[in-house]
Amino acid sequence: MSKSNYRNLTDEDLVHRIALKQDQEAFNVLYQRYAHLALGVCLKYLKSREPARDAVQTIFTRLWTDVHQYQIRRFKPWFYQVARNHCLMELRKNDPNQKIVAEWDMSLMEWEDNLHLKLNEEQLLVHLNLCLRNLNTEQKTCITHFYLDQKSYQETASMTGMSGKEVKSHLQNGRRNLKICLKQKLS
Amino acid sequence: MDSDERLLQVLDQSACLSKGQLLGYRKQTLYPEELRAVEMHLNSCPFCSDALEGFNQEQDMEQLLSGLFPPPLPAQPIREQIKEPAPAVQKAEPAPAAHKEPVRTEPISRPALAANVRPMKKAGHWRRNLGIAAALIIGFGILWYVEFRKQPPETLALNTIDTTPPLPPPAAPELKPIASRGTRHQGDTAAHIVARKKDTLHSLHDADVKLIAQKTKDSAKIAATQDKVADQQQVTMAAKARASEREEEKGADKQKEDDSVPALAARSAEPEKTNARNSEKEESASDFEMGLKMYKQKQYASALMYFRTVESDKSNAKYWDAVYYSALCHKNLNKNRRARKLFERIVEENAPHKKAAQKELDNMKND
Repeated sequence: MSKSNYRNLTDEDLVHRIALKQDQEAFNVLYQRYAHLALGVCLKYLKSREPARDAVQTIFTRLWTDVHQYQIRRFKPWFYQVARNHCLMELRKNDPNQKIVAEWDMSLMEWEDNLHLKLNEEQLLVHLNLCLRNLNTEQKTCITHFYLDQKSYQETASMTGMSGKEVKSHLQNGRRNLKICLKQKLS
Repeated sequence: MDSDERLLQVLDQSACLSKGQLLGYRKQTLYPEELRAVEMHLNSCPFCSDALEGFNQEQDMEQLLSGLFPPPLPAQPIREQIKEPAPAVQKAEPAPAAHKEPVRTEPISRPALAANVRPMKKAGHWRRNLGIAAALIIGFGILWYVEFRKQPPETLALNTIDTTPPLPPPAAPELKPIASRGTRHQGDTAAHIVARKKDTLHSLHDADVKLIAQKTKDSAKIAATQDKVADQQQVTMAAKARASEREEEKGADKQKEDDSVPALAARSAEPEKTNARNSEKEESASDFEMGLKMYKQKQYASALMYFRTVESDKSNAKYWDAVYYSALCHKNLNKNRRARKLFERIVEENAPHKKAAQKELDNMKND
């Protein structure tokens, strides 16, 4: 299989090839797709370059050696969780008393992927509008500006008088709350 | 795009950000559309969002990203088939507290990995070479066989018998029609081979007979000269009568020694022409028998060849039998037109198988 063909494969197909055939080319493609993101996550948690780089190498080496032990339905959330767990483990190794609060988004991320299979668009819109009304004011304002008025982070920040970081945080939290609300309504 | 569609973007999924998008976002060099797409994705993807957060702590993000290379991978046994089905529930990553130190497998360099693959390649080369060798041997074998077949049967006969006295070309006139027969019916190779074997056997037999005849002639001459010498001794030396009698006895003994040969010597004394005729008759009779044998074995094409050789001689007693069986062979080979012609000929000529031929013709008409 040529390199271009590998690029057209999904993450899950690549993982399957690695697990079954120890396909090095599949591994390289997966590395190209996610190594920089893993490095960013490791930098966020470990706060320095060298440990972050080492962590990325270890995470990918484990991916190579242990991937056959898992049935990975969605690679991205799984890999994100593996990367974060590794970083948290490293932190705990250095300071066992450190309290680390980690958010677990994996189930939510996975649930998102299959959402379109569960609902048609009209039902989804009805539920989304209901959930949007239940959000707090900041989150509702940020989501309205960003999604409905199609403003950027900076524009939203200038319109609401919040910082960019606050806007980002409200958007992410608002989005998460919307999904949780939607999930509750569907279940 | 109406407000409903925009609201649905909250649930949109897009591919994770590339290095270039991350760098462009950090440097604020993205076009507005791309910036919007990146921000939308950052909202929906905690992975990319976390990564961007991490890179925000770094001054030289570009240099950091350029220093990323895939790790040297440890060699793993290839699992072509996973025999046990994986559990239906996704195996969750163990909690950080319970997480064990990852097993540090000794990384091996890439040449070592390549070395794992090499034996397979070598085995492949070995098989290929063996295949080529086998193909060459088979090819030469076929070539030799073809050449062997091309060799005229006369030389074959000569090669097989180690004859010191000069011999006339053995049974050449008898072989010619058979050889030509073989070339006429090249399609039927099996029958052709049988015919050739038969030819060589005939030639071998003739050569043997002539060789033995030559030897017996020589021994007879020797005996005759010895007799003459004995007579002369009787006339000139009467006193040595006993001695001459002994000589005669010796001559008689020598003749007795050659008693195993006289039948062959007598056969050799027969004129060659009658011998040839007899052998021709025998051959034609045996041809018919062979044809009949083949016919009974339902090898019609082979049988047809033998019948045709008999047909070539009208004076042959088995001529009409051969014609009749040829017709039957043609019929069995679905060559109905040819079969009908032969049957009609038998009926017209009022041949021995007239009734049977007429019956066959009637049957063919009914079909």
